[in-house]
Amino acid sequence: MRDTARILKMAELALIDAMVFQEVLTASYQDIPTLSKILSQRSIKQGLIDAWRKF
Amino acid sequence: MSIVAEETLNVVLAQLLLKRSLRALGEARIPNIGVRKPDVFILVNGVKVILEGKYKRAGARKELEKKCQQRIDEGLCEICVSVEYPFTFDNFLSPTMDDVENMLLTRDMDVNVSWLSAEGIKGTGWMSVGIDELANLIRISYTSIVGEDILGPAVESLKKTIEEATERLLRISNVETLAERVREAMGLHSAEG
Repeated sequence: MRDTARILKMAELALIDAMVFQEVLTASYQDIPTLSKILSQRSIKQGLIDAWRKF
Repeated sequence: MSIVAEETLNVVLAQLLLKRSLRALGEARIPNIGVRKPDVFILVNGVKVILEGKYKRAGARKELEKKCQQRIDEGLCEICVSVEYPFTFDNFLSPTMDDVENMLLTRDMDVNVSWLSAEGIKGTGWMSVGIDELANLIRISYTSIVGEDILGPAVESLKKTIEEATERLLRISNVETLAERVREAMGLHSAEG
């Protein structure tokens, strides 16, 4: 179980890292939505998927 | 509609702040903050300050406050100043840049300073200030932001969120399968041998 928790934490950090990367990119690319825009959408998961497909 | 555009006021305001030792640029495209164009962009010892200005009219304050919140939320600045110009140039037959400068030098503006803190976005509330007081206000806001430990609480909050998310994920029935898929997606099999 400890190993599972460790893997999950690594995956969570990777997701956070990707979100930070996205936020940085929004400063230079207008077609990439900011995280606050995604948070205001009905489905946050779908919002992130759509944004990351553009990368 | 005033003969003097808000853009003109913003550019002259930037010049007046520059004369008060604030590195200000009006209506400029700043490469590292992207294509969004702030009314006035000021850099105070590395801290980014954006100033958004509008003529006084119904709803202007709400628009300015919203815009400032967006600027901070999007990480474009740490401090955002909303400025409402409570005067017009209707009495001028043909106003010049000198008239615009004199107006900004002699008349007070209504301002609200918002900044990023550990507890979220804070604001001073609306107040009436002259150009010298506005310059001082920007410097004071800078002092408060550099004196505040934003990173420490952010790290703690991130750590707590990760712990909570992990605990919730560990409670789902097929967590081992999920972990296995994550392990594969992240290439952890090969890394761990």
